[in-house]
Amino acid sequence: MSGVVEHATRLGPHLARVVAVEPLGGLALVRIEPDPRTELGAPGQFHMLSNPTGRDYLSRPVGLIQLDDGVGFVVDQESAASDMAGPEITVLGPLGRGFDLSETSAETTLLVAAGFGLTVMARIGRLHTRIRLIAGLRQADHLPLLEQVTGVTIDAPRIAPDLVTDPLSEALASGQYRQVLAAGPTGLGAAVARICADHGVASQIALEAPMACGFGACNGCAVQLDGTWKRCCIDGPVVDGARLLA
Amino acid sequence: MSITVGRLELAQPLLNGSGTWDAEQAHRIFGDANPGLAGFVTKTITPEPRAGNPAPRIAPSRQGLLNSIGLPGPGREAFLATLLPRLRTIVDGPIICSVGGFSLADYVDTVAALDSDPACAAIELNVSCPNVESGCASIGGDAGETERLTHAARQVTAKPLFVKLSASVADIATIAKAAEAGGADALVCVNTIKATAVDRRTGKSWFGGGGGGLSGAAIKPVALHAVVACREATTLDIIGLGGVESADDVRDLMAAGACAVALGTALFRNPALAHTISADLAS
Repeated sequence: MSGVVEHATRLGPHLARVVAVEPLGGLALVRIEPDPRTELGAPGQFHMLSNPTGRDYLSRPVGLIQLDDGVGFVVDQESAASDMAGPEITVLGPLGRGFDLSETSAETTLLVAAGFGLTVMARIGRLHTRIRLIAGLRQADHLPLLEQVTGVTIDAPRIAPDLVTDPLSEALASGQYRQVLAAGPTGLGAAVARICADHGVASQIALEAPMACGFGACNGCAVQLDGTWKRCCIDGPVVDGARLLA
Repeated sequence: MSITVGRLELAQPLLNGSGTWDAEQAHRIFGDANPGLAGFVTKTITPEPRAGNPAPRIAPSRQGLLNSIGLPGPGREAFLATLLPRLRTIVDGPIICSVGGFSLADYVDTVAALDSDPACAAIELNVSCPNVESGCASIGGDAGETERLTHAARQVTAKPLFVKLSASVADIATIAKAAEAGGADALVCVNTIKATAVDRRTGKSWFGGGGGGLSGAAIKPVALHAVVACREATTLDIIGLGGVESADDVRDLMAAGACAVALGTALFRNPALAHTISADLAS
């Protein structure tokens, strides 16, 4: 994958003002004040967020999303009320490699995402409309998350234990799609990559991994790529799906 | 505020701890290989390439970070041929090369190779590795092993030679004296503390590679104790390391006896932290 997108990143985090925390089903949408320092970067890139009080000792990787009136992110309600609670949030980014969208079109591209991976698709939906999205959710009270994923055409969402891989196989069997862009938990990436390979369809997968830094220093975000361990934050988080199968 | 630590001159007293910073990636991402740092301490160089431990490798802990990384790296040959020359073009200040291995010969071969490379300004021995030849689980946990290793390294380099100590020992002063007897120029106090997270289902380490070490604010008091103990036991210069997050943490470690201070886990939250601390120290 040669066209992966990176943006120069400002050294050091900055403080962003939290303007609202809204329930989003069993999740929470945190709205932060628009600020030129909070660059979104390319879809698939991420930011390291932390509480300036140090309540959460480690930063966490989060995909910021574009809202109609600003920028925000989605977290679980427990984090929003504890670790991430407060009037400000520390933001470092954008980091990592994002999706190469140069070959993306509604006719030939299929999106697959589950859980927080859906926030990545919210970014893509604002750039390329009407792309079909196969969405998966861990539980029914996460359904409101889909309200943030605008611009795409969403299949009836799959709620665990239903899997997104079943409709994916059916869709690829139609022969319509030339690439799949996917984001979600660890198991989803490898499964999507395998199904795409079986159908001769290219895939780009946004991986998830625990991280302490997000810029290659801690070596904590090990993911298996090319048959060995690589840093998700440097080699990814968006990788060519074939690299998961080596 | 120029200083000298173990015969190595630094423009100011702040460094990174080995394994807590990637100068090449920082240069690529932020445009600055070692922002606010007087030099750069490399990740530990091992004789052969290493992929590192399987995931998971990190876990949060109260006011700290647990890790079991497993020394991933390109190996000695690629480090010398490719990475070190590259680092020399992007790092502002001296490059201190951290050396690890699994036998005395491993260390000596790497130290000898670094001795002849002008890009390497000083050498730090990571003595928290096992010696598989002698059966010693951790060289730095045994005074005799530490002295033999330091002495062997001393024979093949005239460059400043640092020994990075572990606090997971019965008496760090004894190990510090052994490093001094072996010919070290300075001590680095301290490496991560042995610690782990547990998988409740199995009762074993939660980490893919087992084991683990604790870093971050939680270990600052341990680092302070180690610096005091080493200052009282030896005449060596000391680089203090462990839980440093602020100018006051730097002042504490220097008051305890450190002449330079390294940042580690706190850099993960704030890669510009050295700039902040330097400004605070200046004021």
